[in-house]
Amino acid sequence: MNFFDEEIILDYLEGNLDGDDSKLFEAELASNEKLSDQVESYRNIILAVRLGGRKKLSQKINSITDNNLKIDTTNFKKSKTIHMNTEKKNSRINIWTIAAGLAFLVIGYGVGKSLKGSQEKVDPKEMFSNNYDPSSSRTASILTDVAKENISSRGADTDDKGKKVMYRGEEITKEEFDKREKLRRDTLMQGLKLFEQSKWGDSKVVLHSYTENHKEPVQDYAVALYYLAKTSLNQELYGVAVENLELFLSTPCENQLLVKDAEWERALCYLIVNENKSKVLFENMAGDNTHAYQDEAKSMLAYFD
Amino acid sequence: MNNNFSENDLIDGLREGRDEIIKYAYDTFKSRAYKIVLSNNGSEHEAESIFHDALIVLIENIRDQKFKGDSLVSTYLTGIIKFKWLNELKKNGRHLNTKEDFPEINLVVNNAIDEELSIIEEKQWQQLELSIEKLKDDCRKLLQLYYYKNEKLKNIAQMMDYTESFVRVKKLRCMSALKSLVEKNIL
Repeated sequence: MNFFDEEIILDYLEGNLDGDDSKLFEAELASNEKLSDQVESYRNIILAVRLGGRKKLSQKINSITDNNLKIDTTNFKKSKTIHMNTEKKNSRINIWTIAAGLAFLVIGYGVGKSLKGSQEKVDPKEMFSNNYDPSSSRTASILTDVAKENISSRGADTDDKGKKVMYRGEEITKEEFDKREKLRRDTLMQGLKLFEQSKWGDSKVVLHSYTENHKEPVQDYAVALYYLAKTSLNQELYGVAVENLELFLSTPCENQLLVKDAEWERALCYLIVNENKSKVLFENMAGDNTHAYQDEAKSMLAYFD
Repeated sequence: MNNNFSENDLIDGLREGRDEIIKYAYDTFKSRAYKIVLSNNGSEHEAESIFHDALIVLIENIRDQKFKGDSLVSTYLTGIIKFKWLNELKKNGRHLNTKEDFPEINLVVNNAIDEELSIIEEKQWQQLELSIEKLKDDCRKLLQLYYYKNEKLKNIAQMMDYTESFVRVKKLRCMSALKSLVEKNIL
Protein backbone atom coordinates (compact mmCIF):
# COMPACT_ATOMS: atom_id res chain seq x y z
CA MET A 1 0.00 0.00 0.00
CA ASN A 2 1.30 3.46 -0.88
CA PHE A 3 0.42 5.32 2.30
CA PHE A 4 1.00 8.71 0.66
CA ASP A 5 -1.46 8.03 -2.16
CA GLU A 6 -4.06 10.82 -1.96
CA GLU A 7 -6.92 8.38 -2.53
CA ILE A 8 -5.73 6.15 0.31
CA ILE A 9 -5.43 9.11 2.69
CA LEU A 10 -8.91 10.36 1.79
CA ASP A 11 -10.37 6.87 2.10
CA TYR A 12 -8.85 6.67 5.57
CA LEU A 13 -10.24 10.06 6.61
CA GLU A 14 -13.66 9.18 5.24
CA GLY A 15 -13.65 5.79 6.99
CA ASN A 16 -13.64 3.90 3.71
CA LEU A 17 -10.55 1.74 4.23
CA ASP A 18 -11.38 -1.87 5.03
CA GLY A 19 -10.35 -3.40 8.35
CA ASP A 20 -6.92 -4.79 7.44
CA ASP A 21 -5.89 -1.78 5.35
CA SER A 22 -7.10 0.51 8.07
CA LYS A 23 -4.95 -1.28 10.67
CA LEU A 24 -1.93 -1.11 8.36
CA PHE A 25 -2.53 2.58 7.78
CA GLU A 26 -2.97 3.28 11.49
CA ALA A 27 0.24 1.49 12.32
CA GLU A 28 2.16 3.51 9.75
CA LEU A 29 0.49 6.72 10.84
CA ALA A 30 1.54 6.20 14.43
CA SER A 31 5.22 6.06 13.50
CA ASN A 32 5.51 8.20 10.37
CA GLU A 33 5.56 11.93 11.04
CA LYS A 34 5.41 12.91 7.36
CA LEU A 35 2.33 10.80 6.83
CA SER A 36 0.80 12.25 9.97
CA ASP A 37 1.37 15.78 8.59
CA GLN A 38 -0.21 14.82 5.27
CA VAL A 39 -3.27 13.36 6.97
CA GLU A 40 -3.59 16.45 9.17
CA SER A 41 -3.32 18.68 6.13
CA TYR A 42 -6.13 16.85 4.33
CA ARG A 43 -8.22 16.81 7.50
CA ASN A 44 -7.97 20.61 7.72
CA ILE A 45 -8.81 21.03 4.05
CA ILE A 46 -11.95 18.93 4.48
CA LEU A 47 -12.91 20.98 7.52
CA ALA A 48 -12.40 24.19 5.56
CA VAL A 49 -14.65 22.87 2.78
CA ARG A 50 -17.32 22.10 5.37
CA LEU A 51 -16.99 25.54 6.88
CA GLY A 52 -17.29 27.02 3.40
CA GLY A 53 -20.58 25.13 3.01
CA ARG A 54 -21.79 26.48 6.33
CA LYS A 55 -20.89 30.00 5.31
CA LYS A 56 -22.96 29.58 2.16
CA LEU A 57 -25.94 28.41 4.22
CA SER A 58 -25.49 31.40 6.52
CA GLN A 59 -25.54 33.76 3.56
CA LYS A 60 -28.67 32.06 2.28
CA ILE A 61 -30.45 32.56 5.60
CA ASN A 62 -29.50 36.24 5.56
CA SER A 63 -30.74 36.63 2.02
CA ILE A 64 -34.18 35.09 2.57
CA THR A 65 -34.92 36.69 5.92
CA ASP A 66 -35.48 40.36 6.42
CA ASN A 67 -33.79 40.76 9.77
CA ASN A 68 -32.38 44.21 10.30
CA LEU A 69 -29.33 42.92 12.12
CA LYS A 70 -27.59 41.06 9.36
CA ILE A 71 -25.14 38.55 10.72
CA ASP A 72 -21.60 38.83 9.49
CA THR A 73 -21.07 35.61 7.62
CA THR A 74 -17.48 36.34 6.70
CA ASN A 75 -16.16 35.99 10.21
CA PHE A 76 -17.20 32.55 11.36
CA LYS A 77 -13.75 31.47 12.16
CA LYS A 78 -12.19 34.76 13.11
CA SER A 79 -14.32 35.56 16.10
CA LYS A 80 -13.80 32.11 17.51
CA THR A 81 -10.08 31.95 16.84
CA ILE A 82 -9.20 35.29 18.35
CA HIS A 83 -10.38 33.74 21.57
CA MET A 84 -8.37 30.60 20.94
CA ASN A 85 -5.18 32.49 20.12
CA THR A 86 -5.15 34.50 23.29
CA GLU A 87 -6.34 31.81 25.61
CA LYS A 88 -5.64 28.59 23.86
CA LYS A 89 -4.73 26.62 26.91
CA ASN A 90 -7.41 28.08 29.08
CA SER A 91 -10.10 27.85 26.46
CA ARG A 92 -9.93 24.08 26.49
CA ILE A 93 -10.35 24.13 30.22
CA ASN A 94 -13.24 26.54 29.79
CA ILE A 95 -14.95 24.23 27.33
CA TRP A 96 -14.78 21.38 29.80
CA THR A 97 -15.75 23.62 32.69
CA ILE A 98 -18.85 24.52 30.73
CA ALA A 99 -19.45 20.87 29.97
CA ALA A 100 -19.07 20.11 33.67
CA GLY A 101 -21.70 22.72 34.49
CA LEU A 102 -24.01 21.41 31.84
CA ALA A 103 -23.54 17.80 32.91
CA PHE A 104 -24.43 18.84 36.43
CA LEU A 105 -27.54 20.60 35.16
CA VAL A 106 -28.51 17.59 33.09
CA ILE A 107 -28.10 15.19 35.97
CA GLY A 108 -29.86 17.65 38.25
CA TYR A 109 -32.71 17.78 35.80
CA GLY A 110 -33.02 13.99 35.80
CA VAL A 111 -32.94 13.87 39.58
CA GLY A 112 -35.47 16.65 39.98
CA LYS A 113 -37.75 15.19 37.40
CA SER A 114 -37.76 11.76 38.99
CA LEU A 115 -38.51 13.14 42.42
CA LYS A 116 -41.42 15.14 41.09
CA GLY A 117 -43.08 12.54 38.95
CA SER A 118 -42.06 9.05 39.84
CA GLN A 119 -45.47 7.68 38.99
CA GLU A 120 -44.99 8.45 35.31
CA LYS A 121 -43.60 5.75 33.04
CA VAL A 122 -40.88 7.37 31.02
CA ASP A 123 -39.39 6.20 27.76
CA PRO A 124 -35.93 4.69 28.47
CA LYS A 125 -34.45 6.74 25.64
CA GLU A 126 -35.63 9.92 27.30
CA MET A 127 -34.19 8.79 30.62
CA PHE A 128 -30.95 7.97 28.89
CA SER A 129 -30.62 11.28 27.09
CA ASN A 130 -31.38 13.17 30.28
CA ASN A 131 -28.62 11.42 32.14
CA TYR A 132 -25.86 10.81 29.66
CA ASP A 133 -23.41 13.42 28.47
CA PRO A 134 -21.25 12.39 25.49
CA SER A 135 -18.76 15.14 26.24
CA SER A 136 -18.71 14.36 29.93
CA SER A 137 -16.56 16.60 32.06
CA ARG A 138 -15.38 13.62 34.05
CA THR A 139 -14.06 11.98 30.91
CA ALA A 140 -12.30 15.13 29.83
CA SER A 141 -10.76 15.89 33.16
CA ILE A 142 -9.24 12.46 33.54
CA LEU A 143 -8.19 11.99 29.95
CA THR A 144 -4.95 13.90 30.29
CA ASP A 145 -4.06 12.09 33.48
CA VAL A 146 -4.90 8.77 31.96
CA ALA A 147 -2.64 9.50 29.04
CA LYS A 148 0.13 10.80 31.25
CA GLU A 149 0.04 8.33 34.09
CA ASN A 150 -1.57 5.14 32.92
CA ILE A 151 0.30 4.49 29.74
CA SER A 152 3.06 2.40 31.08
CA SER A 153 6.02 0.59 29.65
CA ARG A 154 5.61 -3.13 29.37
CA GLY A 155 9.13 -3.88 30.57
CA ALA A 156 10.96 -6.94 29.35
CA ASP A 157 13.01 -9.92 30.45
CA THR A 158 16.50 -9.32 29.17
CA ASP A 159 19.10 -12.00 28.67
CA ASP A 160 22.42 -11.97 30.48
CA LYS A 161 23.99 -9.45 28.15
CA GLY A 162 20.90 -7.28 28.06
CA LYS A 163 20.75 -7.29 24.27
CA LYS A 164 17.87 -9.70 23.69
CA VAL A 165 14.38 -9.58 25.18
CA MET A 166 11.37 -11.88 25.19
CA TYR A 167 8.35 -10.21 23.63
CA ARG A 168 5.10 -12.14 23.17
CA GLY A 169 7.04 -15.40 23.23
CA GLU A 170 9.52 -14.17 20.66
CA GLU A 171 13.18 -13.35 21.26
CA ILE A 172 13.95 -9.96 19.78
CA THR A 173 16.64 -7.30 20.12
CA LYS A 174 16.29 -4.52 22.68
CA GLU A 175 16.10 -1.98 19.83
CA GLU A 176 13.27 -3.88 18.19
CA PHE A 177 11.50 -4.13 21.53
CA ASP A 178 11.79 -0.36 22.10
CA LYS A 179 10.46 0.28 18.60
CA ARG A 180 7.44 -1.97 19.10
CA GLU A 181 6.73 -0.49 22.51
CA LYS A 182 6.83 3.04 21.10
CA LEU A 183 4.42 2.02 18.35
CA ARG A 184 2.07 0.49 20.93
CA ARG A 185 2.07 3.56 23.17
CA ASP A 186 1.73 5.94 20.22
CA THR A 187 -1.26 3.97 18.97
CA LEU A 188 -3.02 4.21 22.33
CA MET A 189 -2.24 7.91 22.65
CA GLN A 190 -3.55 8.52 19.15
CA GLY A 191 -6.81 6.74 19.97
CA LEU A 192 -7.22 8.84 23.11
CA LYS A 193 -6.41 12.08 21.33
CA LEU A 194 -8.96 11.33 18.61
CA PHE A 195 -11.50 10.65 21.34
CA GLU A 196 -10.66 13.94 23.00
CA GLN A 197 -11.32 15.64 19.66
CA SER A 198 -14.76 13.96 19.52
CA LYS A 199 -13.74 11.98 16.43
CA TRP A 200 -15.59 8.88 17.57
CA GLY A 201 -15.25 6.88 14.34
CA ASP A 202 -11.52 7.45 13.97
CA SER A 203 -10.91 6.87 17.66
CA LYS A 204 -12.86 3.62 17.50
CA VAL A 205 -10.78 2.24 14.62
CA VAL A 206 -7.53 2.94 16.45
CA LEU A 207 -8.69 1.70 19.85
CA HIS A 208 -10.25 -1.44 18.38
CA SER A 209 -6.99 -2.23 16.65
CA TYR A 210 -5.16 -1.58 19.92
CA THR A 211 -7.35 -3.89 22.02
CA GLU A 212 -7.07 -6.63 19.40
CA ASN A 213 -3.29 -6.49 19.41
CA HIS A 214 -2.29 -5.47 22.93
CA LYS A 215 -3.83 -7.24 25.89
CA GLU A 216 -0.86 -6.19 28.02
CA PRO A 217 0.01 -4.16 29.99
CA VAL A 218 -3.43 -4.78 31.40
CA GLN A 219 -3.88 -1.20 32.69
CA ASP A 220 -3.40 0.21 29.20
CA TYR A 221 -5.66 -2.47 27.76
CA ALA A 222 -8.35 -1.47 30.27
CA VAL A 223 -8.05 2.21 29.36
CA ALA A 224 -8.34 1.38 25.66
CA LEU A 225 -11.38 -0.84 26.33
CA TYR A 226 -13.14 1.89 28.29
CA TYR A 227 -12.71 4.53 25.63
CA LEU A 228 -13.58 2.03 22.92
CA ALA A 229 -16.88 1.49 24.73
CA LYS A 230 -17.39 5.26 24.98
CA THR A 231 -16.94 5.71 21.22
CA SER A 232 -19.76 3.21 20.61
CA LEU A 233 -21.88 4.91 23.23
CA ASN A 234 -21.35 8.30 21.65
CA GLN A 235 -22.32 6.83 18.29
CA GLU A 236 -25.52 5.52 19.92
CA LEU A 237 -24.48 1.89 19.38
CA TYR A 238 -25.73 0.78 22.78
CA GLY A 239 -25.47 -2.99 22.28
CA VAL A 240 -21.82 -2.75 21.26
CA ALA A 241 -21.15 -0.25 24.05
CA VAL A 242 -22.62 -2.65 26.62
CA GLU A 243 -20.40 -5.50 25.38
CA ASN A 244 -17.28 -3.35 25.66
CA LEU A 245 -18.27 -1.92 29.05
CA GLU A 246 -18.84 -5.47 30.36
CA LEU A 247 -15.45 -6.48 29.03
CA PHE A 248 -13.85 -3.42 30.63
CA LEU A 249 -15.52 -4.09 33.99
CA SER A 250 -14.27 -7.68 33.96
CA THR A 251 -10.71 -6.43 33.38
CA PRO A 252 -8.62 -5.33 36.38
CA CYS A 253 -8.38 -1.54 36.40
CA GLU A 254 -6.66 0.56 39.03
CA ASN A 255 -8.42 3.77 38.03
CA GLN A 256 -11.59 3.70 40.13
CA LEU A 257 -12.96 6.83 38.46
CA LEU A 258 -13.10 4.97 35.18
CA VAL A 259 -14.69 1.96 36.87
CA LYS A 260 -17.45 4.02 38.49
CA ASP A 261 -18.11 5.94 35.30
CA ALA A 262 -18.28 2.66 33.41
CA GLU A 263 -20.78 1.19 35.90
CA TRP A 264 -23.02 4.26 35.57
CA GLU A 265 -22.77 4.25 31.79
CA ARG A 266 -23.41 0.52 31.60
CA ALA A 267 -26.61 0.93 33.63
CA LEU A 268 -27.72 3.77 31.34
CA CYS A 269 -26.97 1.69 28.23
CA TYR A 270 -29.07 -1.16 29.57
CA LEU A 271 -32.00 1.27 29.75
CA ILE A 272 -32.07 0.97 25.98
CA VAL A 273 -30.95 -2.66 25.66
CA ASN A 274 -32.53 -4.42 28.64
CA GLU A 275 -34.60 -2.44 31.13
CA ASN A 276 -34.75 -5.18 33.80
CA LYS A 277 -31.01 -5.56 33.83
CA SER A 278 -30.71 -1.78 34.05
CA LYS A 279 -32.89 -1.72 37.16
CA VAL A 280 -30.74 -4.34 38.89
CA LEU A 281 -27.59 -2.35 38.13
CA PHE A 282 -29.09 0.89 39.45
CA GLU A 283 -30.20 -0.98 42.59
CA ASN A 284 -26.64 -2.19 43.13
CA MET A 285 -25.25 1.34 42.79
CA ALA A 286 -27.98 2.83 44.97
CA GLY A 287 -27.17 0.32 47.71
CA ASP A 288 -23.46 1.05 47.63
CA ASN A 289 -22.67 3.89 50.05
CA THR A 290 -19.24 4.38 48.52
CA HIS A 291 -20.44 4.64 44.93
CA ALA A 292 -19.89 8.01 43.23
CA TYR A 293 -23.23 7.70 41.46
CA GLN A 294 -25.29 6.50 44.44
CA ASP A 295 -27.61 9.54 44.52
CA GLU A 296 -28.15 9.53 40.77
CA ALA A 297 -28.87 5.79 40.85
CA LYS A 298 -31.41 6.23 43.65
CA SER A 299 -33.26 8.88 41.70
CA MET A 300 -33.20 6.77 38.54
CA LEU A 301 -34.86 3.91 40.43
CA ALA A 302 -37.94 6.07 40.96
CA TYR A 303 -38.68 5.64 37.26
CA PHE A 304 -39.00 1.88 37.62
CA ASP A 305 -41.61 1.92 40.40
CA MET B 1 -47.29 32.66 3.78
CA ASN B 2 -48.58 29.31 4.95
CA ASN B 3 -48.54 29.42 8.73
CA ASN B 4 -49.68 25.83 9.10
CA PHE B 5 -46.68 23.82 8.13
CA SER B 6 -46.74 20.41 9.77
CA GLU B 7 -43.82 19.07 11.73
CA ASN B 8 -42.93 16.84 8.77
CA ASP B 9 -43.13 19.76 6.34
CA LEU B 10 -40.79 21.66 8.60
CA ILE B 11 -38.25 18.83 8.87
CA ASP B 12 -38.34 17.98 5.16
CA GLY B 13 -38.19 21.64 4.15
CA LEU B 14 -35.24 22.43 6.37
CA ARG B 15 -33.43 19.31 5.19
CA GLU B 16 -33.94 20.34 1.57
CA GLY B 17 -33.08 23.98 2.31
CA ARG B 18 -36.40 25.31 0.95
CA ASP B 19 -36.49 29.10 1.22
CA GLU B 20 -40.11 29.39 2.43
CA ILE B 21 -39.57 26.85 5.21
CA ILE B 22 -36.33 28.48 6.37
CA LYS B 23 -38.10 31.84 6.44
CA TYR B 24 -41.06 30.33 8.29
CA ALA B 25 -38.75 28.77 10.91
CA TYR B 26 -36.86 32.01 11.21
CA ASP B 27 -39.94 34.16 11.72
CA THR B 28 -41.71 31.67 13.98
CA PHE B 29 -38.93 30.72 16.35
CA LYS B 30 -36.77 33.84 16.51
CA SER B 31 -38.68 35.19 19.50
CA ARG B 32 -37.47 32.22 21.57
CA ALA B 33 -33.86 33.35 21.18
CA TYR B 34 -34.78 36.92 22.05
CA LYS B 35 -36.60 35.79 25.19
CA ILE B 36 -33.71 33.62 26.38
CA VAL B 37 -30.88 35.99 25.48
CA LEU B 38 -32.47 39.29 26.51
CA SER B 39 -33.56 37.93 29.87
CA ASN B 40 -30.05 36.63 30.51
CA ASN B 41 -27.72 39.59 30.08
CA GLY B 42 -27.68 39.59 26.29
CA SER B 43 -28.29 42.21 23.65
CA GLU B 44 -30.60 42.21 20.66
CA HIS B 45 -27.68 41.70 18.33
CA GLU B 46 -26.46 38.74 20.37
CA ALA B 47 -29.95 37.23 20.28
CA GLU B 48 -30.00 37.57 16.51
CA SER B 49 -26.53 36.10 16.20
CA ILE B 50 -27.24 33.16 18.52
CA PHE B 51 -30.49 32.39 16.71
CA HIS B 52 -28.79 32.57 13.33
CA ASP B 53 -26.11 30.08 14.45
CA ALA B 54 -28.69 27.85 16.15
CA LEU B 55 -30.78 27.68 12.98
CA ILE B 56 -27.71 26.61 11.00
CA VAL B 57 -26.97 23.86 13.53
CA LEU B 58 -30.61 22.74 13.40
CA ILE B 59 -30.54 22.48 9.59
CA GLU B 60 -27.21 20.63 9.66
CA ASN B 61 -28.39 18.24 12.37
CA ILE B 62 -31.61 17.46 10.51
CA ARG B 63 -29.64 16.87 7.32
CA ASP B 64 -27.05 14.71 9.09
CA GLN B 65 -29.80 12.79 10.92
CA LYS B 66 -28.53 13.81 14.34
CA PHE B 67 -32.01 15.14 14.97
CA LYS B 68 -34.16 12.03 14.95
CA GLY B 69 -37.56 13.57 15.51
CA ASP B 70 -37.73 12.47 19.16
CA SER B 71 -38.89 15.95 20.11
CA LEU B 72 -40.58 18.86 18.34
CA VAL B 73 -38.32 20.91 16.08
CA SER B 74 -39.12 23.97 18.19
CA THR B 75 -38.07 22.20 21.42
CA TYR B 76 -34.86 20.98 19.85
CA LEU B 77 -34.06 24.41 18.46
CA THR B 78 -34.72 25.99 21.87
CA GLY B 79 -32.22 23.52 23.36
CA ILE B 80 -29.60 24.58 20.82
CA ILE B 81 -30.23 28.26 21.57
CA LYS B 82 -29.86 27.68 25.30
CA PHE B 83 -26.75 25.59 24.81
CA LYS B 84 -25.12 28.20 22.62
CA TRP B 85 -26.08 31.11 24.83
CA LEU B 86 -24.85 29.38 27.96
CA ASN B 87 -21.53 28.73 26.21
CA GLU B 88 -21.32 32.34 25.15
CA LEU B 89 -22.00 33.58 28.66
CA LYS B 90 -19.40 31.31 30.21
CA LYS B 91 -16.85 32.24 27.56
CA ASN B 92 -17.22 35.89 28.41
CA GLY B 93 -17.41 35.43 32.18
CA ARG B 94 -21.07 36.42 32.36
CA HIS B 95 -23.81 34.61 34.25
CA LEU B 96 -27.38 33.44 33.91
CA ASN B 97 -30.16 35.39 35.55
CA THR B 98 -32.59 32.51 35.58
CA LYS B 99 -31.02 29.12 36.03
CA GLU B 100 -34.47 27.52 36.14
CA ASP B 101 -34.80 28.24 32.46
CA PHE B 102 -31.83 26.10 31.53
CA PRO B 103 -32.15 22.62 33.04
CA GLU B 104 -33.43 20.87 29.94
CA ILE B 105 -30.40 21.58 27.79
CA ASN B 106 -29.73 18.68 25.49
CA LEU B 107 -26.03 18.17 24.96
CA VAL B 108 -26.66 16.12 21.83
CA VAL B 109 -26.73 19.42 19.97
CA ASN B 110 -22.94 19.56 20.09
CA ASN B 111 -21.80 20.31 16.60
CA ALA B 112 -18.86 18.48 15.13
CA ILE B 113 -17.72 21.44 13.02
CA ASP B 114 -17.63 23.68 16.08
CA GLU B 115 -15.57 21.09 17.92
CA GLU B 116 -13.05 20.90 15.10
CA LEU B 117 -12.80 24.65 14.62
CA SER B 118 -10.61 24.99 17.66
CA ILE B 119 -7.77 23.01 16.14
CA ILE B 120 -7.13 25.35 13.20
CA GLU B 121 -5.05 28.46 13.78
CA GLU B 122 -6.33 31.80 12.47
CA LYS B 123 -3.59 32.24 9.87
CA GLN B 124 -4.02 28.70 8.62
CA TRP B 125 -7.78 29.23 8.37
CA GLN B 126 -7.31 32.36 6.24
CA GLN B 127 -5.06 30.41 3.86
CA LEU B 128 -7.61 27.63 3.59
CA GLU B 129 -10.47 30.04 3.00
CA LEU B 130 -8.54 31.93 0.34
CA SER B 131 -7.70 28.68 -1.41
CA ILE B 132 -11.32 27.57 -1.47
CA GLU B 133 -12.34 30.91 -2.97
CA LYS B 134 -9.79 30.41 -5.74
CA LEU B 135 -11.03 26.93 -6.53
CA LYS B 136 -13.10 26.52 -9.68
CA ASP B 137 -16.86 26.75 -9.08
CA ASP B 138 -17.65 23.18 -10.14
CA CYS B 139 -14.93 21.82 -7.85
CA ARG B 140 -16.10 23.90 -4.91
CA LYS B 141 -19.67 22.79 -5.48
CA LEU B 142 -18.72 19.11 -5.75
CA LEU B 143 -16.56 19.16 -2.62
CA GLN B 144 -19.18 21.00 -0.59
CA LEU B 145 -21.90 18.57 -1.69
CA TYR B 146 -19.71 15.67 -0.66
CA TYR B 147 -18.08 16.93 2.52
CA TYR B 148 -20.62 19.44 3.87
CA LYS B 149 -23.94 18.04 2.72
CA ASN B 150 -22.73 14.44 2.95
CA GLU B 151 -24.30 13.63 -0.42
CA LYS B 152 -23.45 10.27 -1.96
CA LEU B 153 -21.38 10.23 -5.16
CA LYS B 154 -24.37 8.80 -7.00
CA ASN B 155 -26.57 11.76 -6.01
CA ILE B 156 -23.84 14.25 -6.86
CA ALA B 157 -23.56 12.64 -10.28
CA GLN B 158 -27.28 13.24 -10.85
CA MET B 159 -27.15 16.81 -9.56
CA MET B 160 -24.14 17.77 -11.67
CA ASP B 161 -25.02 15.70 -14.70
CA TYR B 162 -21.88 13.56 -14.50
CA THR B 163 -21.42 9.82 -14.31
CA GLU B 164 -20.70 8.39 -10.86
CA SER B 165 -17.24 7.21 -11.87
CA PHE B 166 -16.42 10.65 -13.22
CA VAL B 167 -17.51 12.23 -9.92
CA ARG B 168 -15.16 9.87 -8.10
CA VAL B 169 -12.22 10.93 -10.28
CA LYS B 170 -13.19 14.61 -10.28
CA LYS B 171 -13.44 14.65 -6.50
CA LEU B 172 -9.84 13.46 -6.27
CA ARG B 173 -8.71 16.02 -8.85
CA CYS B 174 -10.51 18.80 -7.00
CA MET B 175 -8.96 17.83 -3.69
CA SER B 176 -5.57 17.71 -5.35
CA ALA B 177 -6.11 21.15 -6.88
CA LEU B 178 -7.28 22.54 -3.54
CA LYS B 179 -4.26 21.12 -1.74
CA SER B 180 -1.94 22.71 -4.33
CA LEU B 181 -3.68 26.05 -3.82
CA VAL B 182 -3.32 25.75 -0.06
CA GLU B 183 0.38 24.97 -0.40
CA LYS B 184 0.87 27.93 -2.76
CA ASN B 185 -0.88 30.23 -0.30
CA ILE B 186 1.29 28.98 2.53
CA LEU B 187 4.46 29.66 0.49
